[in-house]
Amino acid sequence: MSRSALWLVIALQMIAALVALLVLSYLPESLAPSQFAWIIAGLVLAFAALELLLWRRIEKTILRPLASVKRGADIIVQTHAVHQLELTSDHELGAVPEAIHALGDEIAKARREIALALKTGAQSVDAQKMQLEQVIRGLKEGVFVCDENARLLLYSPSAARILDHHPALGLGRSLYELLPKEPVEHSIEMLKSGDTRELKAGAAGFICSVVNKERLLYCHLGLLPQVHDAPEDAGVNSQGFVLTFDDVTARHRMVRERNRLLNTTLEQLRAPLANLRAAAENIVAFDDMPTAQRMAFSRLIVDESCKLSDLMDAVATGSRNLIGGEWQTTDIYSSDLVNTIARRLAQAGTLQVTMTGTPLWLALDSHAMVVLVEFLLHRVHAELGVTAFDLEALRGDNSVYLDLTWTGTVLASATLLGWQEEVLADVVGSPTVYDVLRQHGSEIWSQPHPRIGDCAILRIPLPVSVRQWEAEPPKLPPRPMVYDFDLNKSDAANNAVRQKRLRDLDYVVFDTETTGLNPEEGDEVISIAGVRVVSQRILSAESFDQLVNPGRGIPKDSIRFHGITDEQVEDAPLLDAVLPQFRDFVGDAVLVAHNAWFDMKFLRRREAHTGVRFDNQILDTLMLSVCVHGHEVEQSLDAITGRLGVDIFGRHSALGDSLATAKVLLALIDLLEARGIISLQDALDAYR
Amino acid sequence: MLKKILLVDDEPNIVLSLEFLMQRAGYQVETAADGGAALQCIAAAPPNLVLLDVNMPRRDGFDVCQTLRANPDWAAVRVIMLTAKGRDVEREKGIALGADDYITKPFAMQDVIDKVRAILGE
Repeated sequence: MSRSALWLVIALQMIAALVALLVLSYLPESLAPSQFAWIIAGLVLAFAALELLLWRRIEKTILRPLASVKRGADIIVQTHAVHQLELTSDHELGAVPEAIHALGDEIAKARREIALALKTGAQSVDAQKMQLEQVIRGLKEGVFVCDENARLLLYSPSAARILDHHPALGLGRSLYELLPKEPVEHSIEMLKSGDTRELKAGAAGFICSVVNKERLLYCHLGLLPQVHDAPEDAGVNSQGFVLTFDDVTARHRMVRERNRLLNTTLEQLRAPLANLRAAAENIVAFDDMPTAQRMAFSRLIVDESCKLSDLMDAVATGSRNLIGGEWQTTDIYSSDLVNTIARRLAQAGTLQVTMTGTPLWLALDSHAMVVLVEFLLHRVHAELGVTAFDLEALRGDNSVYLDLTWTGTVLASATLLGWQEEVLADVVGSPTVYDVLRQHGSEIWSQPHPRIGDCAILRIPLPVSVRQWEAEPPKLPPRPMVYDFDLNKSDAANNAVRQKRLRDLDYVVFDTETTGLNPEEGDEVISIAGVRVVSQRILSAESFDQLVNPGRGIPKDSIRFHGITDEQVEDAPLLDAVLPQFRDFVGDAVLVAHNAWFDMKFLRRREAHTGVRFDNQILDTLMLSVCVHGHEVEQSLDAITGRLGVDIFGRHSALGDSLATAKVLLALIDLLEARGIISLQDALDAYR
Repeated sequence: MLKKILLVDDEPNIVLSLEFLMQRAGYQVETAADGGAALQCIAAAPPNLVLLDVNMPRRDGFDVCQTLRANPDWAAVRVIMLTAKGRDVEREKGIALGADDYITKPFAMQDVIDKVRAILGE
């Protein structure tokens, strides 16, 4: 018998007794009830009242605690094994809660043991994985590994750098949000249809531009070995592939500009030279010409010489940026260069080199430069007997000076000139010192140390790398997760998102901080953050975190919630500028927030104005939590994280809350599945 | 007494024009065709200013400039370097080795006169 039916029976008993008493009291004299009837009716009423009290007691001390035990047991089994049951002290469940806690402890212990076993077993795999990561990290070229649907399974740190931390870059996202589809698919087709084994095993090269960026890449595409049971000729690509690429924007521009410079210079030289030559030959051939005629030719010579001078200046300016372009230079931090030199010399046990000053970025043929600097140090040692040097990189006017410093006198310019003829046999192609210096657009000279008396320097001006001026990439934690080969196992891309299992969906869990709670009354966003969740993993390395200038003052009362002040958002971009970036970050992922309607209200208000639409599927962790634990319990983010045993850091920052909400989402997915809520459609149905 | 300018260049064509120009501008002009000869001239009778070409066989302009600056007796001698190389690093090198100014070929004659006068404080 259900609880409500029991209550109904008790209520009916009481009503029946009351009705009986009423009837007895209004009966006519002739039908006067006997004493016995009064007693019976009174007894029935008293019994019903007793039942009422008893059942209230049972409800409070047994039935409600049992419901709480059921809820707690779910949590213990699904997510948080050491969850403490939420019980009042007057329950009559005896030792049952303790037994359940003990059971939870056992589950926790078992889980720890399983985790430990898995960890031990995975250690050798991890070691290999780390080696692979090291290799990929060390590559100058960008590396993408994609599945058969061109979704990113791996990207290297250099790929993120070359693509300038493109907002559409993320695991599980389509390559075609970054690079155009046609050349990639064409290359895959070429490799697959190739008749020869060599072609199939090889790589196809192509040049393409980056989506929404003025950047050209030179790419090599190679097919991955087929590991699935996909049919060979399915009509579509059923093979994953590896793409390596390098930024050739600068090289491409340089070649184009050099050709243009050469062509225009040649053209523009001809006319003034022809005029000069004609005038000069006339003056020499006809020395009897009238004075006025001679003056005219002389003025012509001045005019045309000036034109040639101007042309010369233009060419010199134009070529300044092109010098060294044909050499393969690499970006290197001066400290790496100096440390390499110091290490090599220390091994040889001859000279002692110390790095001083702040490191700077250089663009060099680094091996040639290491050999050159070593050569120079040895020569200074031979010339002056110096054994200890300081090496310092300094910002010059248009270059970085690499200064070799020693205590003693300067070197004669003539001595340095003599060294420049010598061959550096250890460098590929055996260039002379002069060649290597010219390759870097450099000259060397020796002068007294600008700051330290008794010291001299040998100065080598070197080209600065563009990285010296590049803003450091947005503050990102170390990137522990840049790949996920398990994405392969998720559903085919053409399945409707709603039919997908919750655990297979890609999410962006986000949060906003605002000046207040009422957008209609002028409250605005001051911070948006989001974090991607792919294949049940929170990719904290792929986060979005942006302060927003609200275009109004931040109320003092709200600052205690989010800690963001007017000064902090002063230089931040406006919401209209941030929304497109956030849109790119979100892609087609499912948007998740705690109390999502609130955040969506702020995001959608600007839709008409900016044209940036968030038409993604939306999930609300608050609603999902209600599906799991009902309305009776508190549903604030703090209460839920406490209940589910989720640790949170940086609460009330948009990023901190996004991370906490992401953890809550993952815990809730387990609990929902235990209730048969598997797909996104199930979840949406459940909270309607 | 006329101020003395030493003109050092191994290219006779430019010496022809500059010598003529400097004499017309009211200076006493001496010429040398290489670095060694230039240093001999300076040692014999230090000029007020040296117009010094960079690219010369044997002792180049950088060498002459550094040698000249190493001798405190010649501290008053002003140096303007002339060069066919137009790169910034060469200009920096010239200044670092003690040149007072630096002129890149080709140049306007008037610019040379202006620089010489400015450096001699006229």
